[in-house]
Amino acid sequence: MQILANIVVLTSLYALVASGYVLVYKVSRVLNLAHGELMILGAYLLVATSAGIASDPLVAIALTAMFSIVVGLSVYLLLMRKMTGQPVLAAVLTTVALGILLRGAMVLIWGPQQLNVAAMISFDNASIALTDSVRVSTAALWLVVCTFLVYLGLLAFLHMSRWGMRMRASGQNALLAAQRGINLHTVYALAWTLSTFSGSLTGVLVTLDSRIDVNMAVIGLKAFPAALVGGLDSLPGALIGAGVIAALEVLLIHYVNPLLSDVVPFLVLIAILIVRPWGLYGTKEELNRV
Amino acid sequence: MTARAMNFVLSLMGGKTVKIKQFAKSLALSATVAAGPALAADDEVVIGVSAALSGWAAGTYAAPAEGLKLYLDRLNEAGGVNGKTVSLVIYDDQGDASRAASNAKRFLTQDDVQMIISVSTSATFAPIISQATRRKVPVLFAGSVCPAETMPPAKPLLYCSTGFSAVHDSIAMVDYLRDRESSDATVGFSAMGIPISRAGMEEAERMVLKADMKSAGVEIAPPGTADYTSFATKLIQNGADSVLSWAPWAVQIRFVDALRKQGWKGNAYVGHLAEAELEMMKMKDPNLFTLGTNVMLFEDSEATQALVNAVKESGSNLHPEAILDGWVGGIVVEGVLEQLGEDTSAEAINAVMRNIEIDTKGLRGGPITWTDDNHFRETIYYRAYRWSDEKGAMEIARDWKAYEVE
Repeated sequence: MQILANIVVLTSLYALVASGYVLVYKVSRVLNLAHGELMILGAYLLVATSAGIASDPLVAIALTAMFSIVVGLSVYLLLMRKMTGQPVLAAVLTTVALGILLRGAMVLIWGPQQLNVAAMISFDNASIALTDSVRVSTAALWLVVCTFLVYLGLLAFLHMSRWGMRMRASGQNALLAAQRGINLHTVYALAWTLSTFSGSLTGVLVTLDSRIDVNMAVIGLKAFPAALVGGLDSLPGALIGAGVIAALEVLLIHYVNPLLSDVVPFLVLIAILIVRPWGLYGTKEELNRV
Repeated sequence: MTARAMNFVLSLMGGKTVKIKQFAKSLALSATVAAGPALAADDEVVIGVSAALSGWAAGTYAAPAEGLKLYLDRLNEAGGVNGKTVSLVIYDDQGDASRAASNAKRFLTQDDVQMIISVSTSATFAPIISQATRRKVPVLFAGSVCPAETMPPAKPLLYCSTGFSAVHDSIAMVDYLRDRESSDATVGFSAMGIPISRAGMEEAERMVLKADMKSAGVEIAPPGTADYTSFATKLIQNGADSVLSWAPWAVQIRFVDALRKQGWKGNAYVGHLAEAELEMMKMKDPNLFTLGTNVMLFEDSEATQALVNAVKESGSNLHPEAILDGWVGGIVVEGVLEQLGEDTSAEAINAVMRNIEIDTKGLRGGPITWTDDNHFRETIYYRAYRWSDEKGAMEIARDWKAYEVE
């Protein structure tokens, strides 16, 4: 049962990260390879707000959420907006450069040392007994709850709100959407903002559960197979992809060889790309666009 | 941006206001510095330093590199040793072998160094050793894990002053664990998927089994693991009463976190690395023990005060404990210069290093002694530390114990 709990927590982690990839790709066809770094930036923003601005942890977290929205908006307005209409590869390479820049900036500002943010904001990451044999940390439980709420919120937003429909329309056919009066820049900015927000939320929760240093951005890379396996333009697919990858990782650690847990998810990714390149729930026509 | 605004921004780096001048100095150290002189004066010893100042390993190695520079800068400000000053040429290798090779080549062909110091990952050793050996320039590992080539029978030109060593740390940790745990305890082991960590923990497992204790297995986590929970679950399910870990500090402590999150209350024994004291003071876990060769700052000795004051005066926002291994590296360089005659060539430096005893000024349990055959140390001293709930502070769990290095 503990193994199942571990799978659920890891699924939540990968799913929350993958939602960021899916949001941006679904709407703008750009693969945001700086998502891992944006996720970690959220954690460092919590360090900044708790150290310099707010002594109350809740206020610090709320401010972090606000700043992450500003970061997402800024990334689009100052950088990605310029890439609109350019070849997809150029936009993707821009995100790679952004990731490297962010990583370097974070090291310069906050240093390379690992930071114990939970201790900084006096967050008690207590162990919670769900049953006699199953325990999770407080932050892990929050991660599961937040993933559920984020996915529920995003699905509701995309399918029931006017702006959500505009985002989906832009993703399906940008030219037609523009001709129908949808402001693509606004839609893309919204996608980047929501993606960065979900990434920052992940970063905050991960750092409260563990510690933070810039190398944690590798979580972004590990969640990438989850997004691709599920389908880069499908949120439910990302959730299922995350479940597949997380289950594989945890079961390999327990029953086969822990070192395979790092490698096998990418083997699964390659297999999916060969057999069903649009992913389990992605749109088949996406293959042509990529 | 005005100075006031800049200081506000800098205050967001953890609540401390860092002087702008020092911030600029930190930026300079982090960037690749090519400041070596074209020709060294006779009274100047040029030392090349290849360090992981950025990249994944910077968390472990950037601080000791800063410590080394701090110590030698202060030495130079005080006039050097016997009229000799040290000129440091520092290049960032990012913990990468190819960059280290390029750094070594620059040191030896352009910068004309008389010694190389490595403060980086074990991946960088082979290229540095290869180039330095060809040019007969001594290499000091100060802050890097000690390579086997420095241990008996030591290879020429290679020396190590670093406080930690996978095998010797494991010997000390198992020895201490046997004192504390019952003879039928089951011990779990945690390592990172890098050769040195695996070797250390597999050796520790062998020692535990030889002592007729039981093993819950060695859990090896790949580098870059996001979540250690499953690895910890496996050890708990295998019945581990206590856990030993030797890996980069971030890995060790995340593993302990993962154990505690699942309600595991056993004793955890970890290697004493740079971030140990600060982290253990935050964790306040009385069942977490660290064993190592360096002192902790809470002991507030004359030597630690000098180190703390140096860091304060420099305006650095690094924790003084994090720079300690590099600081000791600086003490070693000073010790070598004290015994160096008029001849400051690489050959002369190597001749001094081959047989030397260096007083570690109370920062270790005893001196660092190198002989023809042993460039690690003849005797290594370990102390155990833990957090004490009763005292509300760190305490010495077991005082210095000497182990002969064979």
